[in-house]
Amino acid sequence: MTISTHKIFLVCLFLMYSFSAYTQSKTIDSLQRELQIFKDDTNKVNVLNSLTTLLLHNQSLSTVSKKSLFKKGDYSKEIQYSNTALDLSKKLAFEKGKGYAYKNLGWINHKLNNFTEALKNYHAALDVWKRESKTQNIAETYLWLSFTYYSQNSYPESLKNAYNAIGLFEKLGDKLGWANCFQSIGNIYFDQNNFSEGLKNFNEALKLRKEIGDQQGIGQTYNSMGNIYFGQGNYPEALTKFSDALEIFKKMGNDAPEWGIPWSSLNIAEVYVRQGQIADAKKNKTEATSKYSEALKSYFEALRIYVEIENEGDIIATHLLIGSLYVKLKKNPSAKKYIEKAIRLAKASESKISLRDSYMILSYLNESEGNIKDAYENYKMYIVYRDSLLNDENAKKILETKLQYEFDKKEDLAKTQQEKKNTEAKRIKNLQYFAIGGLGVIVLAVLLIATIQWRNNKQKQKANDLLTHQKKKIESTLTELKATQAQLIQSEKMASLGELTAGIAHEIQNPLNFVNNFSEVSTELVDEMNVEIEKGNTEDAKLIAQDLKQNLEKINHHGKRAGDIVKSMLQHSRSSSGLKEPTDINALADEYLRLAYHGLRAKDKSFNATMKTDFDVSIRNISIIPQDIGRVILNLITNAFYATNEKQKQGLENYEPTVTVKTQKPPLGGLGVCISVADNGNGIPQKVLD
Amino acid sequence: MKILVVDDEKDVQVLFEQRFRKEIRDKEMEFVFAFSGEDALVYLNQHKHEAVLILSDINMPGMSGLDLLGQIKQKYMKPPPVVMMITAYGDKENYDTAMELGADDFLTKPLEFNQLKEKLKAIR
Repeated sequence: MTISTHKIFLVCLFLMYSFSAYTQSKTIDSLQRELQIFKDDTNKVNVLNSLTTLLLHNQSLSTVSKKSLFKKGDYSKEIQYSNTALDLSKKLAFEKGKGYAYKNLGWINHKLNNFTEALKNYHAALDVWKRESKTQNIAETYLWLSFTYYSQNSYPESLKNAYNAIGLFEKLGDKLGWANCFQSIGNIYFDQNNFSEGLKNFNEALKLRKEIGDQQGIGQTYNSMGNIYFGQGNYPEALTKFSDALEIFKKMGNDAPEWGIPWSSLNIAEVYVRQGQIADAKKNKTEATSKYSEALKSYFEALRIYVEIENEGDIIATHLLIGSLYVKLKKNPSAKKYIEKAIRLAKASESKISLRDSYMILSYLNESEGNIKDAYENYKMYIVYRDSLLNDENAKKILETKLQYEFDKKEDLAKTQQEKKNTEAKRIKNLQYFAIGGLGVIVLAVLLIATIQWRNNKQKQKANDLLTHQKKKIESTLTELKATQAQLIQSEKMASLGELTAGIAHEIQNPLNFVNNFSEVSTELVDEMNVEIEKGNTEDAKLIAQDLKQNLEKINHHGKRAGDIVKSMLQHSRSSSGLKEPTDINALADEYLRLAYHGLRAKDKSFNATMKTDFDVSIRNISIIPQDIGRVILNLITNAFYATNEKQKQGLENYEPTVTVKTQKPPLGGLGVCISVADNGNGIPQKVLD
Repeated sequence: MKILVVDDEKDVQVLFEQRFRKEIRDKEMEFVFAFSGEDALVYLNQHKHEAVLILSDINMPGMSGLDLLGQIKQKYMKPPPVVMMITAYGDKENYDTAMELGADDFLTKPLEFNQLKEKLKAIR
């Protein structure tokens, strides 16, 4: 497992968590059109961020695949969109827009290997999400940070952030995110050959994935666990895990990710190859051949699917693996067939990695045939591509260095062989024997290297395939999300009413109590009145009539009260039209005072305070946006109640918590209305006043 | 039977006096009204053992009905008056707290007076 494994998670994460106001069910075209239409408002920010997300997503898909539409590494558009989104968000103080823009910029910089810059961006995003208390986004950002640190080889930091993310996903009950954290931590440990820790984390991930029935994730984790066992040399167990993974993916049928079955098959093949090598070392030829045959079977299964899904990179890599194996099985013609095909395909897609690997294996194949000239020529080609790649890829420094070492060793060996063959022409028999022996070692190394290289490549391919899958999954998920989003915005509003709702329930039940009961009792009174009239007791009847009238007035009054409460509730839930309307400010303040009080009482039964009002009844209706002003008043009142509650908790004797809401014309004259909320709490600390 | 009704809504008095007019007229029941927990305690202090039944709202400004309940059940022990809570908040939390504090019954608004009358008959 290499850094590129983490890239899988990086892009997985990116896809799964890059929500924005607009979903990815819209195409790039339609989003770009919207960009023209929208004014400079928050919608535009959302479009910009979504566009960036989509473009980055498509960029990730571009590889050696023939279908690559975008030039590799050109992120100018995404950078432009993100910066515009960021600037606009800053102007509009649109925190969410800032957060997503920073995330996108972090992602871009990460891909460009500007790790310091990426970290800066992610930290900026983190600040935004912390301010906005968006726990989900905070958790995801920690995971982004984890991957960036990993790419930078800062493992302690990487782990720290992954653990931060875990804590939050656990709190959120987001088992998917939680599992991904464990998976990613497991990979970090695996990469450092800390197999026990790696396994521990993969087990945690597996547990969670099973709980949520994340079949794909389970398959993925099984493969990861298989890799651990492979790393520990526990091949039977590795085989079990890889087979389990294969089973899972096969069961998923059409729902399985493209890379699922082939990846698992290749892992299985790897185990068989290793077991074959061990058998070879023990000089157990039958065992070795049988293991290699099993490996071949798995290779072919993987190849079949890669061809089906037209995954160039993996097709080439698998050809090379098969070719190498045929070399091992001493089936040179077959080996040549596959290796030469690999070279053809690699040249067509201009894949340096594949060409490097192909030439190396071809070189050794030539050598085994005694074709020294071609062996040397092909080996030179291998060096050319190897060096070229070394210059290109900084991010794979570690692995390249490892490989460099291996290659250098083999290079030396090969050079030694060459020299020996050249100078000791007479000792051809011994030379051949030595060459074959060397070849045996070299082919082993080649297989190992090819495997690592291929794995390297495979991981990239896997990342891309994972993306394709994720993209499809996301598209359907986000279609739902779009529908849910509208509801969510509503329920957010309703959630913010949560504090008031309890108080409102009380508010409404009281007038309802009167409406119901007074009407019932009035019906009875009418009967009584009729009895009195029958009896001729006009005076008594008149008295009852008086009561009746009073009752009806009370019904009217309480009914209106309930109606006002409902109206104010609806006003909260309706989005602010931004229009001013003539409002009775006294009634508004009174309503919010009572609502705040009852809401707080509902939340905290120990809370109580005396409410006082001092309304200037001469104030007529004023032209305001009632929801907005109401919200301000509500906040002031809530703070006032809070302050008194705090002071009351101190347990002072004779302390009567009191909040007074007062309306008056401005004391110093002038237009407008002065609304004041006073409390006898602890007051503003002197420190703050200063 | 003397009944103390505690509720911050003034119309509650009018309502009770109308709904129980027969019982009041026949001197079966006598109602006293307090508009806050504090007032209720003042009354109970001044008229010890007179009220055998207390009907109290829960959510009131100042002392809540539950606070009042606690006070009554602690101070006015022998014999303790029957206390029934009447409230708009029919949630489990309120119910449990009321029961824990020793409430004898728990009614929710809007009040069903027929139901209430049944319960009151059972007390006598």
